[in-house]
Amino acid sequence: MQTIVIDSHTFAIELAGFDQPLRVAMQARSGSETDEVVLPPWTCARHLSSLRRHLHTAGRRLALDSAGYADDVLDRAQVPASQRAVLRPLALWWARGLAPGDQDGEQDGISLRPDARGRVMLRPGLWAHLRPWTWGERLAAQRARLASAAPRAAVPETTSAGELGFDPVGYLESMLAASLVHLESEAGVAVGLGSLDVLDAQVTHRLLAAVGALNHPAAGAGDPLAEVPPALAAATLRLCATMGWTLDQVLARPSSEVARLLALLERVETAGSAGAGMAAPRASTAASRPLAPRRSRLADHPDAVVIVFGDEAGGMS
Amino acid sequence: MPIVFSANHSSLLVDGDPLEGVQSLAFRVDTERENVRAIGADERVDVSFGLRTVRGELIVRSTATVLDDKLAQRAGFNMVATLKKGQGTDDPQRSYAFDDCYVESKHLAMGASGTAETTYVFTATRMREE
Repeated sequence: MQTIVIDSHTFAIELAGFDQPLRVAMQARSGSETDEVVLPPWTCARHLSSLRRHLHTAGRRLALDSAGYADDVLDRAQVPASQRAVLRPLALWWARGLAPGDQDGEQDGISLRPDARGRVMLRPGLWAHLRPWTWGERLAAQRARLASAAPRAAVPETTSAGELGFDPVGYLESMLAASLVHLESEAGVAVGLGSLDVLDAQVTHRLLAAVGALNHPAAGAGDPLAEVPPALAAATLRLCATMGWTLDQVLARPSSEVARLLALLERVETAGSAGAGMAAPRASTAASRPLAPRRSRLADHPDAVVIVFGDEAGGMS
Repeated sequence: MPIVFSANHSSLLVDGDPLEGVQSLAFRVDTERENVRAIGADERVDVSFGLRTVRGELIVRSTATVLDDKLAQRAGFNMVATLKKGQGTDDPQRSYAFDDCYVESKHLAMGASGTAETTYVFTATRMREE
């Protein structure tokens, strides 16, 4: 047995891992004996289910009914009502999945940042292969969760204050489904995900923290583009549009090469605007099509069927 | 005039894997044809149709490594272009499937103010519209 102090309450527990039941010694009313409460492992599926019941949006903030959430944890152990007030802090700690001595962000000294192969260790022998979700997936999740209260309604359901209703747990589930490619063992063998009931609280916390950091990094957390001056932001976007590079590709280029490219672009545009007989090249934007090379294309053939991908004007015929 | 489709939420799959950066896909179906003549007649008496092939051009932003490999290895592949106007189930949807495709050549173009793009010329045994 070990003791743990939560919110000034001392509990005697027997912790064998978050994937095993937690045994809690309770002082019996008679005083001389101890009762034992056994909390079963708190799984990812139950965590999300309880969040859905007890997490609410209040304006721009999220509010959790912690007592209700803790009671869901204690329901699983069939704890009598007389003991719940005492055990609620412990129940919240158990559902949190943070072992004594661990710090948020790194647990057991294991980083939650994906390695070069996109893997995060959830526990020894279990890895999660993650990928960032795309902008399209994020927009689809936001749209679905804003209108989730009234499917296919012309106007999303609004709260009494006139603000849009939002389902944060559904949004989290969409992000998790998109970002978790698969679970795998130490040897890289894919492990069947099955249901979220196989993930205990500690693994759940690590997984959700890693997915959240991957898709919603903290502002200024090592991002060189955070709060960059407008001139440098414009130069970066110009390279993206001109060279067809992503932001990460621009940042990965040697700085001398980037400076030379920007200087060349500046010379071309300056020569064009000075009326040196060369038409000023149009700046490419994300919405405009690139200049077509001077060669015959199949698309010019009268019998050709041409399919244009992207947000071009026009419709299917 | 060529038939031009423009669609949001469209995708192109090469052997089942999505291909990123696709700008446009153009194809043309060619069917060999021969007029059958007859002595003493000044009109054709029949038409003989021969081999039907599909020829296409795929334009990709920057480059597509998977198609470069197909060209280098002279390997065949299947391609499916799925066109959708939206993500709803009621939105119009059309699919073009190209079977037994081979990349024959590629052409890279990059303008000073344009965007680098590669054109892959391919042929296919058949094209199915669904």
